[in-house]
Amino acid sequence: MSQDVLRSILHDIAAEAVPTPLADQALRGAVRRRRAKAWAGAAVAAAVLAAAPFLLPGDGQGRPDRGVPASNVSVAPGPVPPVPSSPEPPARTAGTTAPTSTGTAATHRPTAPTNKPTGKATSLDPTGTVAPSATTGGSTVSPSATTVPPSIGASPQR
Amino acid sequence: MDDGAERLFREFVAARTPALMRTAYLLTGNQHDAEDLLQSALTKSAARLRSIRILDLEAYVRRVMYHQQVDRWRVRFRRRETPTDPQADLLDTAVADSSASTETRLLVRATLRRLPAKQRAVVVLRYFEDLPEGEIAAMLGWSVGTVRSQTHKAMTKLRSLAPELAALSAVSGDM
Repeated sequence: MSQDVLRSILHDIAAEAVPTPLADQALRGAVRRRRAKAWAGAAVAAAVLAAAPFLLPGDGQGRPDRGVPASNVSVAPGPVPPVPSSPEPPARTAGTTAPTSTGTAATHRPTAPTNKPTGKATSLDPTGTVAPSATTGGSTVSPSATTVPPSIGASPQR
Repeated sequence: MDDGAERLFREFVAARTPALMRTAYLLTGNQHDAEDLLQSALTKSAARLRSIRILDLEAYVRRVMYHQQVDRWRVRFRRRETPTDPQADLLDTAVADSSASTETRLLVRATLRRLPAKQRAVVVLRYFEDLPEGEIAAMLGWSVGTVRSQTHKAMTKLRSLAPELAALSAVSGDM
């Protein structure tokens, strides 16, 4: 079969096609397609936002870990939230409370290695006595928990 | 889409629909599938009209048509559907033929339908649109070697499916 014969046959077959006006349908389809894409994108975004709290690293109890830094992250110095004004009970053993630079025991701030709740209520201090952890709301302040950030020490109020 | 782009698109569709429809008709083999194919390609092009220059619009539409035809054929192959259009075959017998005998034309038409979509696309691009192998490769995203092999397979299958074409080939001697 010669190529010219094949070409002429193809042109004859193609001439049977009936052109139909498709511009309006194409434009409507384009609008519909764009809307469908927008809806799909919005649905995906909503699904991601809904699932985001469950995707964040939690404390192992199904609750998201909000605002608590990881144990290996150093705590940057900054303003410390005010300590509750409840009277602080006396320390159990002498020497477990180190003098602070500000002279008040209420300005202590837990250091990074112990500031994440672990579920354990107690920890050992250097004296060998069992003292409540600083993050559990206990009254005994261990030496490691008395570090005061420079911004607090330089505060004109204290 | 702003009014200017929409107006240009309408003018383009009005001017180029007959040519695009002929290509789609050859690719699909029947009027309904050709309309669907061209409609889908135009819809995709209209949705991307902001990023396509109006001068490249026809090339883009043709590219979409060829790619979509291959994908559509893949979907149909998975669904085990066979494109048939018996009414068009009946109509063909009444169409006058100016270049080849009606019998040969019907034979080529039926054989084209039985070709895989890739081979049919290559035949249309090579012998209907008269594109060189390099442009066909660029259009379909294949290598030139793939275009050559697909063309060879298509012509071999045309001859094998239609022995009359092989006899015609022996007479003409160039294929």
